[in-house]
Amino acid sequence: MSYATSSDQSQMMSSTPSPSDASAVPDLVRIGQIPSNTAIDIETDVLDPVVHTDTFCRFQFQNKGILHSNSKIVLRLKTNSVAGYLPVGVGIHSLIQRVALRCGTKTISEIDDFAHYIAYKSMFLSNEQQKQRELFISGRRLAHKPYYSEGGNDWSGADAVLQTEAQRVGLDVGVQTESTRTQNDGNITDRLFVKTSAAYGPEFSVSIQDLFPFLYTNQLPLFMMSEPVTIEIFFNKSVNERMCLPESASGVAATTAFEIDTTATELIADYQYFPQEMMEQYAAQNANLSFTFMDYRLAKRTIPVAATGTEASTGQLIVNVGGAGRLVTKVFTALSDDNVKGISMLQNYHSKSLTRDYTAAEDLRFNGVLTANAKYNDHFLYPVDVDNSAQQFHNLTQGEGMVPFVYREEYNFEGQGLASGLYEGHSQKNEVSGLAGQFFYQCYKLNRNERINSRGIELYNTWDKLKNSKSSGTNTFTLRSYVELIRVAQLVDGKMEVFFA
Amino acid sequence: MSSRQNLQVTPSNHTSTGKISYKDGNPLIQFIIGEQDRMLIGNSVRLVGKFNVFKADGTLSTTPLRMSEQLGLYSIIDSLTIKSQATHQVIEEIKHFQRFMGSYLPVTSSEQDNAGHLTETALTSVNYVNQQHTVVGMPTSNATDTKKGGNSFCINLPCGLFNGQNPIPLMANGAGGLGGLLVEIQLAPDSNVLFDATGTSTSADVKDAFYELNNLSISAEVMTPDPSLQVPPASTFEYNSISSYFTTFNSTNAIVNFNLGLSRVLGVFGNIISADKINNRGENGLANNFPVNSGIIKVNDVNVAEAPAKIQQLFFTRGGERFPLEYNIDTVQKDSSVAANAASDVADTQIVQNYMNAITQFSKLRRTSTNPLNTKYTAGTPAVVNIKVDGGSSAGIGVAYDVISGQGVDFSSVNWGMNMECLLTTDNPQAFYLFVHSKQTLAFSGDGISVVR
Repeated sequence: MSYATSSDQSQMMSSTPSPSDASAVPDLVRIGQIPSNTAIDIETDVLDPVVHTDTFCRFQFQNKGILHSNSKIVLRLKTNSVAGYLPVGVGIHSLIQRVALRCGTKTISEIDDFAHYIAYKSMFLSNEQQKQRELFISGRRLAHKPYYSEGGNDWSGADAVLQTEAQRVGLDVGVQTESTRTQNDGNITDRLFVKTSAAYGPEFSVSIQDLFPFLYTNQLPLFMMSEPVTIEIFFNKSVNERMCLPESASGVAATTAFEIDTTATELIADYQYFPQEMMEQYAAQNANLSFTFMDYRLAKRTIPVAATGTEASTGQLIVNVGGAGRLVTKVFTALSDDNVKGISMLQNYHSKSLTRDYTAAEDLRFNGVLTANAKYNDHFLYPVDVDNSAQQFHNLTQGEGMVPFVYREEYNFEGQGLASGLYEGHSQKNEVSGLAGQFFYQCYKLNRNERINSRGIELYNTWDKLKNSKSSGTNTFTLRSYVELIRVAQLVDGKMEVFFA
Repeated sequence: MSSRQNLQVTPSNHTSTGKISYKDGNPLIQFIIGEQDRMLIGNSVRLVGKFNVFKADGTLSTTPLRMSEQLGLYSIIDSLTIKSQATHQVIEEIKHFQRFMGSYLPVTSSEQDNAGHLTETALTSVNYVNQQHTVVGMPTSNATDTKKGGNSFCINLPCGLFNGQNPIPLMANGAGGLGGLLVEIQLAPDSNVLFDATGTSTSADVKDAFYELNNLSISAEVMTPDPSLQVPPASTFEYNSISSYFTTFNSTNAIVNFNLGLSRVLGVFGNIISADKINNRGENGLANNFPVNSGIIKVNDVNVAEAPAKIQQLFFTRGGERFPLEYNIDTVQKDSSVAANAASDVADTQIVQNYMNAITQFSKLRRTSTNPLNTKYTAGTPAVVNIKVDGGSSAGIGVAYDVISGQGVDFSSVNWGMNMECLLTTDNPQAFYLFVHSKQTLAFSGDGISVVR
């Protein structure tokens, strides 16, 4: 089915052009089309970080040309005798806790809890892109395929059944699943190049436009900027926040440190050069250059979960996520289980669905329900609280302008279609260490085109039972709400100013 | 600045139990999106609710009960009608809606769509066993709290009016609007939605099994126009529409003729099923297959039950002349000089390409499930048709008339025709569902609306 890319993501460039030949020079920093006979030179610099520890690194660009938004930062983990693997959903982004793009002392864009943010965004990459590109670029590999009954060492039975039956859907990382006619759920061993070993540390790259989303539509005219432009990356802790562990090694999850190989970290910066007179004209015309872009603000809240067996509904929780006085286009939320980290194939970068019961007496069975709404400027976003998970999925799609490529049971933990085959020893259909109910993200598209009043945005959520992943004692979940708001960057005489729209 | 709001509309003819099923005599669901000074965002309209399947005695369904994995929830919609709420004039009506979706959905969605978002919203699946296991066999269907039981769904309602790019004015007729909308959904009979995968229509698991909906509503976004940019009310509204036609053929030379009465036809496409499989609990009444024979006949000296009646030649006409292709499509199977060609099970690529092009411009088709495996000629028996891979059979016939200007071709006063030679040598009527994609115009006035076709 067709779908459209988001119009919400559009960012507008505006400038005060000089009266003369305003239309002669194409908009060089807005990603789009330029005349095909325009000569473009690309110069690639490999930049080492100016500061680098296991928790932080900083890169500084040279102020030349126009920065290509798909420039890459290469990251590598040190070798490790424990065979950890990168989280399926976010890949190498699991190393990153916070990113900031600064111009001089001013912060242009900054995203906190970045790995959680990118876990949400990665859901919207098509399965084809995950399997065929991201698996090799960033280590993200959340692609699916039906698990046919064929394969393995058992070819007995009717051909038609062996070749057409696929009761389950599971991960597809481009390797064969071990399945037989009787055990048709299929086990998978992950790709070696996403795992640490005593002789190998996985190395992947992250695109700077993934780090700073406004670069998807704009490029930085570094040659017009007089202040130093830097990227700062704060890394997640080395223990239990970066890597996942196979089931066999889950006992050392809380003690094994996966360190970054600082000798490998580098920024591959592509600078674009257009014909000199064109760039000079552009700079002259755009002495006062401004553009609007989306930035994200994080609001966090802890939600307690009672001990196993006594879990209950949270009751209605009203969470104020901020946004007062701002132009906000949407809010998306993730609810992560603080106890689930290295023992899950997604690490902590997931969003939990409600628990379910498919084995009780028929009338007592249930799929947990989230009842959700948002309120701003004294009005609710939805006329009726939304408690249908498929409608919540639709709202997510509407908010992002793109469909998430996740399977039904992965989203709302409904149905029984995920493979029980083992992935690094974890059952794919497991709701703690696997994929089931781990992508229950919510998105609220604030479509009234209003500036948020001083009360801010309030999310009204009632969760049914949330499953406690601990065998004993209480647990906590963290609700992360990312508020997408509009900011304006202004480049005047080489100096960048940033303010809220 | 214009702003948008969300709407949630419950059925105007809802039952006291909140449960709606064909079996219990509620085949028609009506939603009223009332007259208001706002515009409806057509592509935001969603039918939301819960879906359950039960055996005749109300217990949970079990194998071999199945439904179409290709269509999922779309298989329950027999017809979709959109009327003006003020005048009750029909703006668009798609009969045989699930057959329309049987062409539209597989051609425009990929295997990954079927294994991804469509499983969540439309309860489709990439494989028939998976769909049976996750949707039909849902363990929570009998939950006391209906909001916590059953299959959640949230489907769009593809049709010309809702798929259009222009917001739909809901204002009064005299103010340049439709006077609100009345959306009517006619449910399909259980016997054409649920079937026995093994072809046994009388087993206790299948006989009188039924589906049920609850917690139904329509959600949509509406737009309030910017008051500072008020423009005079429009007097016309242009949109794309789907018109449906039905006929049967039972001959080696199938000649189909319709007076479409449409002036701006963009394309026609259709799909085929043996008529005896419709409303038959032993058969998937929503399968799309190329024509098949009845009984057992010899094909290449091998006895085959319900052998495929392979197409040998196909052409389309306008007013009796070949159009838009000015030649016959002579398929590879017609080539008797090469035995392998004549025996080929692969549908001629020109037939498949024209069919896909009629639904979505082929050069812009980025995602599709249609492939040589699910368009090939196969026998029509349940043991073959019901277990096709990659979302099920995606066979069909069609041709596009205008993929460039978007203005279409005039069929208002000339007949549309299709001439197909196939190997249908036995007595086995084939049902042919034809859908015409055309441009239409709504004209408003204080007296009401009129549709210019």
